[in-house]
Amino acid sequence: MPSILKTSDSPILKVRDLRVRFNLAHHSLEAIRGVSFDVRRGEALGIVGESGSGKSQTMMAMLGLLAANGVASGEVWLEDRQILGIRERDLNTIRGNRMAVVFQDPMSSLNPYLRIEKQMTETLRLHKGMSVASARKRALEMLEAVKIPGARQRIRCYPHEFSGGMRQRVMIAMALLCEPAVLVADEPTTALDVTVQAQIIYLLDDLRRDFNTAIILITHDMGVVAGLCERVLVMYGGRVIEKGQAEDLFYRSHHPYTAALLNAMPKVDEACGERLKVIPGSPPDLQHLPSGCPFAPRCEYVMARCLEEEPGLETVTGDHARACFYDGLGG
Amino acid sequence: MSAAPPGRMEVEQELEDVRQGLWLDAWRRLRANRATVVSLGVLGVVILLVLFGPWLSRYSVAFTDWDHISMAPSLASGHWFGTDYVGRDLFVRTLAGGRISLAIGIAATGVSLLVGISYGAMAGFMGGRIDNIMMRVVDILYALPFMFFVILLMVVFGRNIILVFVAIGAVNWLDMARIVRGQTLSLKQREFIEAARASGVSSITIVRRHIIPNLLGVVVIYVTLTIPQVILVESFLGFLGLGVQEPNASWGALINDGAQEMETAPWMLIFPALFLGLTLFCFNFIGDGLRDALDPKDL
Repeated sequence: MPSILKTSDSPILKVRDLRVRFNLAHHSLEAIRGVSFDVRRGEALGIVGESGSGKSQTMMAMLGLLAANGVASGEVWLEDRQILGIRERDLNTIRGNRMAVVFQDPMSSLNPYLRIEKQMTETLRLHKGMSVASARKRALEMLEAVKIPGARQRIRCYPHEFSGGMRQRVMIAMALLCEPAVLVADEPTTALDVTVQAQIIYLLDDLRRDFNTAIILITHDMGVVAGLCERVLVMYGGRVIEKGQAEDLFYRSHHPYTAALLNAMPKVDEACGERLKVIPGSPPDLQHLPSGCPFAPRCEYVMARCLEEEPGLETVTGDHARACFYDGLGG
Repeated sequence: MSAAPPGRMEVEQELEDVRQGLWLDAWRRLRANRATVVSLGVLGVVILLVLFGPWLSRYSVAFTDWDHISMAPSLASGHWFGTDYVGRDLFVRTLAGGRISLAIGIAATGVSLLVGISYGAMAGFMGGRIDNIMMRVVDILYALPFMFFVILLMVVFGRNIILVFVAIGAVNWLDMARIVRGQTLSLKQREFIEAARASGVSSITIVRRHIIPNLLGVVVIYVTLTIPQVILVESFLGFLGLGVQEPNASWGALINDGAQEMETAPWMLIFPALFLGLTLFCFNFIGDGLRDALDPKDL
């Protein structure tokens, strides 16, 4: 197994102007409005946003897993192959093989009727055409890689015999079985205890180094992003509103929304009894998006211009970009 | 044919493996359930009796013993269960009737199982327009009056016991399809199905591997309810002169006859009813045990 971290410059995953539209009974709704980003080999990218910002749908669209009434447009290039909108059969050779997913809830992501062994070997037999014996051996190796104690016995267990954290480890092991180029983790720690959360994040980080797999971490938890990701994408109202190196965003954020998100994180050293900070208002209703910047109604720096035109992504420095007209932030 | 990475043989071998795993575990758990084990034993005895019992007696199904009409059970005459109002031996008739009742029960349920599960699971899994069309077909068939359907079959193809099998099977799978579809719809929303899709598993494999095993609990219970129901439907058909015809018998037909002679010759009712009751009890206990055994969470 390669253990040297290679972050080559050519991106392994390129998403260009991804748009997702859901056709409802009487109208349609645009959930993602032109999202573009790159992920390089072995890199960890965080996608952050509130509920309804479109972060999960971005992933679903990339994998062709949108609901039946969802339509995606744009381009998704995985290892120099356009995969958006291709046939289900071709997609099935990519999903789980070159791009894998870890879902949010480990309690319901495993088939309760099959032993872990069966569920793990399924992917290997399907994509790699391995024999039963070698698939079993590989599954065992992966369980050991995700640090499940007594893997040899545990592989014969049913999902209900595992705790939540252990199940998430199994899910991660399953996702990594075929050594995918990209691993998408959709809120992998949301359903877990805080202590287990940290373990899972460290585990993901280790595995990223060991397998040189790019990780896309979808979360609303800035703390989780800080622990794992080098680059961060902040989404709001179906668009990317700021992106850049994690450090730039955390310490030199140029968007009021990112700043507000960071400010809303509870801090341990805050005085007791002090109220948690919130961003006033609620996320935009995608059916009735304001004409200008979608964040304008909640923004404390809102200007007349913000209500009329929607700011585009503009480079601040290097690969740090933001979509905002206000200049007083950052630095 | 192109040789896709996992060869057909290998996939089948693997499926075999899965099936064995599931059923082997189920068997292990089943053996721990006393009521089920006893029921299996009793049912086994009933089946053996029904298959080979009639040969033990010196009488045949149609033979009328004019010397012993409506006679109570006795060892001396060789009529161990007594005789009916035309002097036919009840022991032979009860066991021979069991052949037909059990065969109809198992065959019709088997058909409804096979057709119902694949149809319902497919409709539920595909969803949308396909589901709509498939289920409207079920509705239309459902609306067809059962008796009318049976009479039509009899008129067109003549009276034949096979037709009773066909008729009952053709109607029973509708219920099964509806139940299975409903279950599949709710299973489809579960995250492990999404996870399977996200790891590139094809639809057919998802249905076979992830949906159907999760349906088994409900299906098994339904099957144990269906077998008795089918046996009773057959007796109802027999009562109307559409089912098994004299001199052949089935449990339903015998109980019907027995009920009319209940006051003068109670044995005519007691023996067939005893066998039917015993069999139905066994199926219920076995179904209950199977349901528990098939759920990995119940150890």
